[in-house]
Amino acid sequence: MIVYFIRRFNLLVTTLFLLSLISFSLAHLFPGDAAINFSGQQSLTYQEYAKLTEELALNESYFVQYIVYMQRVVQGDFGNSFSSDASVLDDFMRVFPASAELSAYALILTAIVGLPLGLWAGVKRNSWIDKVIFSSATIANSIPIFWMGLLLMLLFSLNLAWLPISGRLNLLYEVPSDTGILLIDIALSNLDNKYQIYQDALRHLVLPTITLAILPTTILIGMMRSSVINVMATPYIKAAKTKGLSTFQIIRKHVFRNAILPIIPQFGLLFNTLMTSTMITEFIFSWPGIGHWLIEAIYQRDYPVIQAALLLVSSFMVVINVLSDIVHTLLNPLVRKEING
Amino acid sequence: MMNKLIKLWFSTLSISFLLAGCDRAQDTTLANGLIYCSEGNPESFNPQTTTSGITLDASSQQLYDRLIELDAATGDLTAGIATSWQTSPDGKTIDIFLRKDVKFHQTRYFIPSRTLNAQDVVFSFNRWRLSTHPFYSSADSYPHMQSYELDALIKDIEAVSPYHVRFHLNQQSASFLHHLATDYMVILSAEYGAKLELQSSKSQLDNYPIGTGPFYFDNFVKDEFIRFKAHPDYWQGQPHINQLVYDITPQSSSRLAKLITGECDVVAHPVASEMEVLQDKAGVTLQSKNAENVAFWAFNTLKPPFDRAEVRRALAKSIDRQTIYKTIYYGMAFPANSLIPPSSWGYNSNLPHLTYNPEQAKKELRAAGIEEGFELEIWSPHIEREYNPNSLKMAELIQANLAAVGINATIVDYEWSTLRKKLSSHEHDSVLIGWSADMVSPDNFLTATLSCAAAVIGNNRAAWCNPHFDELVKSAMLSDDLNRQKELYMQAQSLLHQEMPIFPIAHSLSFLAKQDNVLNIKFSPYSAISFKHVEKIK
Repeated sequence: MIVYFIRRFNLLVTTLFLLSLISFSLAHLFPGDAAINFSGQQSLTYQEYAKLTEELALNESYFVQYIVYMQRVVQGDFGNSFSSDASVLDDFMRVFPASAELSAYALILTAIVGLPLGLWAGVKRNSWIDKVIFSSATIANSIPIFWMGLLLMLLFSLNLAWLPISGRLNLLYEVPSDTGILLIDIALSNLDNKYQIYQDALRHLVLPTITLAILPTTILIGMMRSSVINVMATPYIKAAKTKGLSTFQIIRKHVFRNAILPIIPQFGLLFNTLMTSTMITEFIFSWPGIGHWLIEAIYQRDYPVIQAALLLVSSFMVVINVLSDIVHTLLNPLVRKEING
Repeated sequence: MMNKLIKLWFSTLSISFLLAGCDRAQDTTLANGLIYCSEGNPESFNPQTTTSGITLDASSQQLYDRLIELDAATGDLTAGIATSWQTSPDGKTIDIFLRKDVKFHQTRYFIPSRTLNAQDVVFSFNRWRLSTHPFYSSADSYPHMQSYELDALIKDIEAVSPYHVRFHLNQQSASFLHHLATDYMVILSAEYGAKLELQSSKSQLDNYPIGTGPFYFDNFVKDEFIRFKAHPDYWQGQPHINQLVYDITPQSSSRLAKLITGECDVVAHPVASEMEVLQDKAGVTLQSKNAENVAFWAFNTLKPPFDRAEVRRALAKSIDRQTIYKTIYYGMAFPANSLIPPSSWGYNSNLPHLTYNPEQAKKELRAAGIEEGFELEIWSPHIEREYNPNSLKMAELIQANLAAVGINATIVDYEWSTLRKKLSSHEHDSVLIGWSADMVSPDNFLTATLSCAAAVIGNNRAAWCNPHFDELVKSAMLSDDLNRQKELYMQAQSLLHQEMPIFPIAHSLSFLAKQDNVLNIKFSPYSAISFKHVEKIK
């Protein structure tokens, strides 16, 4: 077991090391001066520049430069943004909760819709219900999310005028940002029209959440269905059937839990799809999160932001992947047995 | 477990449907606020430091007042913070009498202890006029004042009494009072300046503004929004709305969509291709203003081979402007033959027309030593400007035209404030940009864009400096004989035609689209947009 954790940990460290190497070399690969790309300070006097070069060890070997860079990263110093002049980490902390919030809701929606539908399709294998669910999931899976987002926007916002198309909240509502998670911030605020603000926030959430949830939902339906089919074919289900349990009881007692276990490590995979889709969704719905931030940074050639965002987002994804692996190992006795045996 | 899960599943679904399906109850926050979907990020909130239309729109008329205002309809000067003014017989001394009880903004970062007086006026002018002033170096440049050399025109400013300011000029100037009415001549708070100096945080003067205008600054998040709130003690009376928010939406199609869904009350620069959609749309109105602007392609004359006029002329000949009028402006623009639009009295109608002749252009380019496969960069902002609804597409058309004469053009697109920063250091080969007039006089098109003074501070996008041209424009400004002025402007324009530091493209009509229930937006030539009198009827 411990060997397994060490191996996972090893993988994590190696990947993070490679990512930090790429991020480090970007400052040298981007056009312009490395000192400026690292620090994000554009208007420097000669003395300031010399001091900065000294601090960043730019006259030393690449190895020393990398060590200095890693020290800064560990301290959370990613330099300043070219365009807003604010610290990149501060900007990241401002936009990250918005993305995390949206992804979390989409994930919840995915679980609420995907698991039951996958279960249903798996239990009623080869019936017309299974065919309808499975083929619609396949169709939805093959629709590009960008197109889907625009289509939903066209239908629900522009034609029916039910839902807004951009942002998290009507800009006239002013909710102080304590946690960065809007639905919690509204509750914490002392505004007297909270009900309206909640409604407005939820209306803003509907389209982005649905758009974002579509792709992971279809994947989850597929995974759940095949997992349920596997479980249904096992001897213990047959045994349960011969014991005279009703289908509902079988599903409740045996199928659900056993089918969900093999899916958990795949959640990491789901999360990767989700992160990529988040960027696209944010762009379509002008959601002020990481994707929006990164795309604006690319437009503005804001190298410190691109460099930092790359490192932060990819490290985050690697960490989540490894964590979901470990959680899976802890939960699933079969895997535990394999490792120990 | 399963039962609970199923229950949870159904209840979550039904709650979310309920909430999403509810009618939105109107509360007063929405009815008392206005959202203006603007096209980009301002560089700062002080119009003294820029000529960028976006910065002016976000600051000048909203946050500040001027001594004198220009009545757009009649062209007359009217009272602003100054109640009256008097020019001495020799025209060199101007006495200005100030209004009493003009209150400054009270915000979370500054609480004023007194009302506006002569000290504030002196502070506001000295800030850009005197290089020894503590705040002079906190901005890179003062483009409008420096290209007009107003710092050299004003000899001294004197606070005679708390409500009486005297300007001493070095020479008589017919246009000086008109300068006072431009968007750039805003009045700042000297008390706020003193406070920032003590805290040694001088750059805040332009980024956390304090003025006397109808709205005060609340918050700005780059790429997202700017929030202004109504100034309760505004001397012309509190504005009708409580809150003014600029929703920064660089994509024109998104602005259009937000207007249709009602997320924006007013949108900036709907592009010509969208006009048809807007004209047929119930509940939406278009407001237009005259084409007092020009779009042009500027060559960086500091960089060879663009330092040679024959190369610039040959490049100009290779561009097919007819296609540009059709595909970019959809007929909503006048062809430009000079920088000055034909509607102005200073326009030179005798200039030979610029013609599209790729064969000729090719020959001239080869003769000038520009070989097949020559590379050049076209810089372009990726947002709409009132003179150019689609710079990127225009850049693509020019790229195709240039390919036909054997030149490989690369398009480099930048966000607006980044582009302007980079242009000032003259790193570009060429750029697609333009100018919107802020004064009635025709010299406004020439001085601010192409004078040597503008080249020094980086506002002259061609970095072109021709003493003869400067001389002609300056003499025209000083002359009080209209025919003589006309004559000089004609000569200046002929010189431009000959030298071609910039290639004029079009004078575009500009538009604003708004919901029908929004009234009294001031959208007129020579000044930035103003929401001072805006009303939102229920």
